[in-house]
Amino acid sequence: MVKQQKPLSARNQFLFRFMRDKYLHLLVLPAMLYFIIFCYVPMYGLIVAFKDFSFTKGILDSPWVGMKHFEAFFDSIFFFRLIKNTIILSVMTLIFSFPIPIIFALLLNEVKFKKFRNTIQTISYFPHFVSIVIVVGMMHILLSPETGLINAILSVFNIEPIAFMQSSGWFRPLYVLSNIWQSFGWSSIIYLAALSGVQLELYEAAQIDGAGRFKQVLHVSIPAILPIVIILFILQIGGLMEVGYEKILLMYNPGIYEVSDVISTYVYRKSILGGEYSFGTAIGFFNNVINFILIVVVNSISKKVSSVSLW
Amino acid sequence: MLIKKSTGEKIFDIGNMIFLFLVACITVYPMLFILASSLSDYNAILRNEVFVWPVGFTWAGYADVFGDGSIFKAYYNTLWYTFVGTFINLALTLMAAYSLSRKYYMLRSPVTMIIAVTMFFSGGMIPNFLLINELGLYDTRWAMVLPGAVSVFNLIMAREFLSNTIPDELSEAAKIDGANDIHIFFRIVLPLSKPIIAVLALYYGVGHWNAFFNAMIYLKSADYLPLSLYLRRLLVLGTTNFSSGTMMDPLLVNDPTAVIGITQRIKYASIIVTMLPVLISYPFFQKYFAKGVMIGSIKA
Repeated sequence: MVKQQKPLSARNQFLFRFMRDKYLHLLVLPAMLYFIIFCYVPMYGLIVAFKDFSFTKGILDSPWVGMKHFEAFFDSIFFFRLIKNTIILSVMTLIFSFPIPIIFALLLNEVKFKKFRNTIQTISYFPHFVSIVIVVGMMHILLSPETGLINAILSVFNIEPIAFMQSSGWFRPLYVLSNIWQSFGWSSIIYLAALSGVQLELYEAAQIDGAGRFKQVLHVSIPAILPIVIILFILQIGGLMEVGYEKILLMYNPGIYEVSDVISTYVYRKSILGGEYSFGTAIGFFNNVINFILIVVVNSISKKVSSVSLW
Repeated sequence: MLIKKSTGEKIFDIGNMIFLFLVACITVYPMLFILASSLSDYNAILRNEVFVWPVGFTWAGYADVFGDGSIFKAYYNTLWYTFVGTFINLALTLMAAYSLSRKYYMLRSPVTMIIAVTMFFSGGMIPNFLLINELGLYDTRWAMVLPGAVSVFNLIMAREFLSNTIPDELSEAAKIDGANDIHIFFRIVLPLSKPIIAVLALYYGVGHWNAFFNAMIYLKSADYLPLSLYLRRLLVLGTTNFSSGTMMDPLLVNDPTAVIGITQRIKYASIIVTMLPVLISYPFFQKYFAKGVMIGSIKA
């Protein structure tokens, strides 16, 4: 005998599904707690930007001061310099660091010996796993004017020793070069993965149509990685106001603040070292808003032009 | 190949391989130089005679590093942060990834939404710093492992992996046999997730091993400082005083040039000692490197 099942009311249905999934809730709970405590609570903490925070009063009881800290930042003599340094480093990274993994992947994809290809690839990843402290430490060692290898080589050509790490002219090239060294191999993986997915028939068809090696790259390989290139480009532009401040903190010194001081390093000095927490929060908030606007704008442009979108 | 290679193509192929070989050489050279120098005589280092191979081979640099002893505490701390941190990362990420990989899970989209938002908005450096203080985590070991306990990117990667490896039908069939989701997680999901666990452990583990900024702002006591800060003091700030081995040799103490050379060698040796676990596990893990990116890019 089959019993007629009464349709559950909306509320009961919700309860039924909630109870059915109870262990799934339990499994997702620790991660949710993490996101709420360590991501959403700090977002709420942004109200500190509109207050005069002091540790004795705490976040809630510190007095409101409106836009005071934002105005102070906009009026600051460092405002223009920080924005300029941040953008120059980002744009330099975009121009030099972004295309190199693409070119590297395309060249590596042309190599037909699998062993050779894999070896080169494995070697190219390695710097990605070297910590930033070691990277900057090696720069200090290799570029030292007294004992560094580079200056020893330069002296063979009768070039006076250069204090690379103390020179404001060398800061940006060194930042970008070390960035390329550390990331080109690792960043190329995603392109190589896309290239290895291209069917061989496509290349053969292009050959029959009379396409040489260069034309095959142009008309088969590059279209295959283009969507990924666009997505990564959007993300890069979205992070235009975000630079590798951890590395800068290790590389810079007061003598070269002129070219090396960026928004995040300034926030670090002002707030963590200087105790001006509200001021630093306001600057960080401003930076976040710009980042968000950038990524939304670039994404919508990309959607219109190429129909590739992040969401 | 359908069509024979032309001479131009052959030249390109050979030129291309030579070029890539040179790129690889430039990439490894700095590490090779450090390794060779760490095993060389300090006079050879001072005279810039070391290029690829140790000159006047000696272990004295390593004896100096270990003789001083202050590296052990930092080493222990970094090991602690790496193991405990990676364990927390793996537990939280895999559990959440399993729930979110079930298409029938009622909170799948709201939870995914809440998590995805954090990729685009964040409190930033100072609100995070204030939170760590408010929670009483400042200058404790937990400040190194709790912030960043789940990476959104890794969570999405694990979710993609699980929804492909363990289809809804499989977990539903197990439920009909009387298992609940906790059983399924431990008896089915974990045993089938070895590749993704390896990839996640690698990504999270290297992150902990190299972590530097959080240690700098959240830690104060010398007892908790990791290797990254030990190296920063030695390599970047140059404020470490070594009182061991060769440094205390009465013949050398009053020779400033020798001290420079020995200090230099201590720096090289410290770098190698710090990188040793990464260097050793590199060949073991390297087959997983690309895998993670492949899994992650299925979505893209």
